Amino acid sequence: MEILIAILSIVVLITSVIGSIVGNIAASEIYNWCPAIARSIVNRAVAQLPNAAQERYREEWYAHLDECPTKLGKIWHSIGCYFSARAVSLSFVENEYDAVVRQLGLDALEPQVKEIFIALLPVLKKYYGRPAGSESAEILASEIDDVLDRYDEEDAETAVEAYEKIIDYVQKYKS
Amino acid sequence: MSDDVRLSQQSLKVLRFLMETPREGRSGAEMSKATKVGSGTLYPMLARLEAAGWLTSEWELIDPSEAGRPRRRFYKLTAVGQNHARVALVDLQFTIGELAWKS
Repeated sequence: MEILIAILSIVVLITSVIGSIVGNIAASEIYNWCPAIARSIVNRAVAQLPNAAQERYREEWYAHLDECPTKLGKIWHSIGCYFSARAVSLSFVENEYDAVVRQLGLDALEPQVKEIFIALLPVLKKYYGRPAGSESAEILASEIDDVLDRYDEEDAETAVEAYEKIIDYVQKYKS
Repeated sequence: MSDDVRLSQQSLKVLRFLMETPREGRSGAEMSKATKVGSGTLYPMLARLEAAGWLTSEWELIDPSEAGRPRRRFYKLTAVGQNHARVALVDLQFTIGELAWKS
């Protein structure tokens, strides 16, 4: 019995020594990968932004990443970027909306129409450029209806008209 | 542009930091380091303040390929932003003073 306990103790000792060595190596490897992991998280954060904002925030967030003094700090910064992307997008879309509305002379839109427009924009942007009649276009149609159902019909029509004007503007701008 | 901007404690910290050198642009990393406001809070706040016309931002004047690093984006208070920030910070001092007086 005593021999068995001694053998077990030795096995436990060896296992814990090996475990701690492997654990340390793994931890150090993961720590060394932190900058690459952080960069990849920043890329995922940037992918959530509207196309027009991606270039700017990628460079800005990479620059911030370079200035983080520790590897864990880089991870912390990248996670922050990931969770801030949605809020940054909303401000950006609102800002972009204001600029386009000013250029198109749509300032007179009622505040509620503006609210509908902003609610509609992410859905429309998601499917922008998809071929008409495709499955994604049908999904788009139902998602647009879901947004519009939340608002008064007349206001919703005005918002869609405003959106069409803006799409025309963007297409002219692109060509 | 909107004047209706909700200001949290973190926003006030950032505004106070920017008010220290209102003519000088500050990068997100500098603000984050000085105010201890994390990126998750800082960038949405900066985007909101910029959309409201309180801040302007511009790129650092370097060539990234020559410098071997990405350009920083520098944020600066606009005249409107400075006025709002001054009022908000005075209000905050007044509130702190009032609380200190009551206790």
